[in-house]
Amino acid sequence: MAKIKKKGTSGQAKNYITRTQAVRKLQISLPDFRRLCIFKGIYPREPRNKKKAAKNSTASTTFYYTKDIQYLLHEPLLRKFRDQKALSKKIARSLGRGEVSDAARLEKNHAPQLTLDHIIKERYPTFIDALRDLDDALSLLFLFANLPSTAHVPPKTIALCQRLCHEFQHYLIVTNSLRKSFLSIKGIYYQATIQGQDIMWLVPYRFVQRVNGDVDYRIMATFVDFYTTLLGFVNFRLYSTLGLRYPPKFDTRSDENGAELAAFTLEGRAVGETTKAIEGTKQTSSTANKEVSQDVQAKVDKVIKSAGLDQTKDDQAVQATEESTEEIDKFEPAAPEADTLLQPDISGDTAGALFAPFTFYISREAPKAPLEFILRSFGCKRIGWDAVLGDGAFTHDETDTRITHQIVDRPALPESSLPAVPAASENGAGAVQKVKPGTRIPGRTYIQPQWIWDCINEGKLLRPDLYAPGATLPPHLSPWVKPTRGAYDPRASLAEQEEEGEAEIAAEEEEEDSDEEMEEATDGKKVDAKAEDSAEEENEDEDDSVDGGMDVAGTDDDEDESEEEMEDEFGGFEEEAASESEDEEESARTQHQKELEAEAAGLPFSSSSAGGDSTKKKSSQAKKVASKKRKEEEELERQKMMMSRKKRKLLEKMMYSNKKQSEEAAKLRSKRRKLEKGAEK
Amino acid sequence: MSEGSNSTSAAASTQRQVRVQLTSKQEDIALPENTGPILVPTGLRRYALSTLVNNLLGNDKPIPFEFLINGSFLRTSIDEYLTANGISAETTLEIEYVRALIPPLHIASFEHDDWVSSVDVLSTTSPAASLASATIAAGQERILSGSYDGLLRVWNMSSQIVATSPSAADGGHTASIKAAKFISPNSIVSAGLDRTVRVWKYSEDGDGFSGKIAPQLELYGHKGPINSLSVHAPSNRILSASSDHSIGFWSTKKSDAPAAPEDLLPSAALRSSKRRKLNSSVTIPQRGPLALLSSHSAPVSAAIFDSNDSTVGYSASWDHSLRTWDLVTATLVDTRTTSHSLLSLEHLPEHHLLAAGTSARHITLIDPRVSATTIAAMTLRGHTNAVVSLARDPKSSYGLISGSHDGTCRIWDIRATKTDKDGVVGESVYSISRKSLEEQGKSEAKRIGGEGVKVFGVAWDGTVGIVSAGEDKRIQINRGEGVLSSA
Repeated sequence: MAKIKKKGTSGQAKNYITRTQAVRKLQISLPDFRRLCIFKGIYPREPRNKKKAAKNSTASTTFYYTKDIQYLLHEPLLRKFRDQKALSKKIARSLGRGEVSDAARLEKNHAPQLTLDHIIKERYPTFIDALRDLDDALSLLFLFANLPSTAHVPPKTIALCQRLCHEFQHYLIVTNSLRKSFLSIKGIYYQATIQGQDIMWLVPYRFVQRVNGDVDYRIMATFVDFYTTLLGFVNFRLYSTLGLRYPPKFDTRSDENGAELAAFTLEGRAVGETTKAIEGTKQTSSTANKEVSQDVQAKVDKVIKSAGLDQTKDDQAVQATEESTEEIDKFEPAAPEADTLLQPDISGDTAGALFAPFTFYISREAPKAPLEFILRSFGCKRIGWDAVLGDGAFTHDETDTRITHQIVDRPALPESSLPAVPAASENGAGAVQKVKPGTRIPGRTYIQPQWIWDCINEGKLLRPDLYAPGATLPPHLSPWVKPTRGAYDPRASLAEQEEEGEAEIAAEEEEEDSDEEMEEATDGKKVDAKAEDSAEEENEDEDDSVDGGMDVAGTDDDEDESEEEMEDEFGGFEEEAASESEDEEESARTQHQKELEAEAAGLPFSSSSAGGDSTKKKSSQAKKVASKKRKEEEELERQKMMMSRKKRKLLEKMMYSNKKQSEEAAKLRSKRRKLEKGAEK
Repeated sequence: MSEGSNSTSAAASTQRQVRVQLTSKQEDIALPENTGPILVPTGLRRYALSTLVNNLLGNDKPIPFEFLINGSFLRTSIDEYLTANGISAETTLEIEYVRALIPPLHIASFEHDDWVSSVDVLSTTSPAASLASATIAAGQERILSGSYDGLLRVWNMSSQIVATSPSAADGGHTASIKAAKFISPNSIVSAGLDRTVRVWKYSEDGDGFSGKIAPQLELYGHKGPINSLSVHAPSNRILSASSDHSIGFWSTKKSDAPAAPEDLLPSAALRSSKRRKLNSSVTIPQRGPLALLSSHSAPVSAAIFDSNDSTVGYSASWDHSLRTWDLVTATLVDTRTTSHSLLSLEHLPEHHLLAAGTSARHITLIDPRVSATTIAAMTLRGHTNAVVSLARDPKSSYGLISGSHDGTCRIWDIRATKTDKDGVVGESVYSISRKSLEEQGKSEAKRIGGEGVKVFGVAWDGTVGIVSAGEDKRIQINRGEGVLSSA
């Protein structure tokens, strides 16, 4: 007879370990355990059978794989944690004895330094792995770069995050690898393509952030530790593949003046590494006398005086340089049924050329940081801004004639205060040293910031007049949501996407509505409702589109809510329409009856017929649509009969979801219709 | 800036000044140490700046300078440069100045009967003469050309043929020559499609108007056409790169070389086939290779010696790889794989770089050292067809010339590089087109891929200048001459 197997020696009972057991096994404290798990990327697992894993204990705990914990046992960091614990004990003892200087010495000299380098190497064996995992890292680091410093978030960490983020942005600028960006409620989404990997991250707006207590900054700080190490390595690798020196030169003084991106200067690694004596002296001299020496300058001025006369003459013809126009081959599928190859929609070259010929000026009220980053990564070299916004601008002078585009984010002033036509007399006014806010300088295009975002997402320059200051902006849509057939597309006009007869029906409903409302005479209420609707819609649009792009699940909640609201409003109509079309004959009969009754009662004929006329017209429209629908349904029903059960089920499922989608679209369309009607009035 | 904004823009541009820091990497033309940044008007162009630097240096005779800002030569005024690159006029501009290249003008063309595959120069400054410590009198320079008609020709500077190699019947090449080089002032090596490397004795009459190229040694070992040759005269060694995927390592001395493999000798082929007797009437010693290095998986396009260490060889192949060889033990040391087929190779010892011309129309600079983090240190772009020949600038360690199938030779300065999204990228400083095109009056006509004027070989000598050979059946000599050349 086989040996009787003991319980809890194999299977789930053996494969899982509770957190308490794990902590005890590793001999570290719970916070340290948490940090270690974050660094190593180990997370709790849900056993298939909790009871078996917990060995019949019913207390709710978290489980880890035993193997994972086993693997943590020989982690070099573990020793560091233990050293730290030992040290803190020593410090506590010193403090207990009142030996403060001793404690200070211990803390200063013996605190173990955590290095995460080996973990980065271990978790990301190839560079592509690291790039793939950059989304979260960037989002968190950009968040921390924009946080105010508090007790939990030391300024050093923030400075580090800012530096790393700016270095990363500089890489994107150099390579023109930013692809898309989107302004959402949460912040600004960016998408870049680095070495074929799409990376998306979120940067919060620069509002004053209120740090509240319900966020555990210790956990966040652990992630920041890890991600700063990661991004440091990634930046180094990215820079060195380009042959750039890392870290780039950082000008502390201009950074203090708010230069941000412009505080960094990227340098290529020179080929002649043989640094000669001159190089060394040059370094010292450049640091020693930053100021212009008088005698040399005098000499220079003299030379220039004599040579400056012929400066207009061209001494050498500019050699024609051949542009490297390396376009990506387009792969067209040979046969219609062949697989289509995914094509990059925009290449680095086209991205780099989008804003290249222009000079932008960012007005004081416009957000400089994201605009500068986007403009630079799409090829714009010359960006000026108001001196208030910080250092590093191409020009601080708003009246500079080289400026071609000015980004303004303030409402247009009434016509009277603006120069109607840029006349010659107004030129003088424009050249005044301080430009009055709201004045237009002729010869440049004024646009709202959204133009930049819409242009880069479209990959081409859009009509700037739609984005003129004070203009009602076109919808800003997520670039990651592709319009699907049958779904509502806010970009297309209403007429393009309406179903047949939908507009007419809607118009009639509207009439009816308005009639009723006239009777009730509650105009004010209606206006209110409309305003509310429009606000709601905007919010919804934004939410939906962002979520779609980020593949975030669980967006259904707010949609459901809105659906319910909508049902209250619209449910009635549909029912009505349906019943009318169904009982067409019935209504005809009642009509006849009514006429008879009216005749009997001695009422004039015209009134009753006139009353029925509008309803008749309406019902005929509805009837037509309904009968057509019915026919289609019958046809479908017939086809369904011939299908196998499995296929029929599939078809039904498909139709159900299609219907849901089209209902959704119809709802949004009707909202839009209402809005447009409102605008007309 | 307040003064600038007060005045009109036109006035502002002339008045505006920018701080510049002038630097140089060459000691002899460096400014004194205490020269800090100076203020110059932004309207200045290259010429004015050059005058300024010459004045500061106190040169009696002005040296023409070129100015490099961020790796690109200043071709416009400083103001236009600042505008184009969006640099604020308030920053200090670092400008590096280098000696300007004097435009190499066409001097002469030597006509041949057939395509010219390779050229080499014998002058005081050429490696063949300088290594043998021989002096060649001025005007007595010789140019060697190997042609597709299977003949070697030695030219003097007045476009006369001094000597021609014997025909196939008299011990010459039986097929086209692909590579020819001077080993020393009186010996020549050549190789070609007939799979042999031949060493010739070159002798001249006293008057220098006639000479003789006599066969000295035939080297057998390759099973395919030979694409290029490299010589190291002090150690009497030759490297050959062949289409049979191997690199031959040979000795020029009869006594050093092992016996030739029997099966590759023409006599062996004769015995087995009824081919017409092509073998020469004269008997020439036949030898085999010291070593055949094979690990490439595609035809080897070029093999060269390290400029500093003759025991190290480099080879470039169509299999995209660049390999480093230890020639003493005939073993492979290192392989660097690039992304394109490599067609030519040149060593830049001062920068520890190898320049390789690729089929992708650019030149890749490769760091062969094991410690190098990236394979391609730099890319030089500009050619419109495969780059098949490379030569070093004899006067500057930063200069390089390339010959390409697009019918041009381009001069490059590896200091003039920009860091782009594709890494470090350089552009050519000067482009030499074929004179034959101009003579036909088709210089304007765009030829696709350099049809009819492909450049096959280029050599750059300090005395003679740039010598290039090509499909137009001629050697073309270009030299930078003029009033400024003495600088």
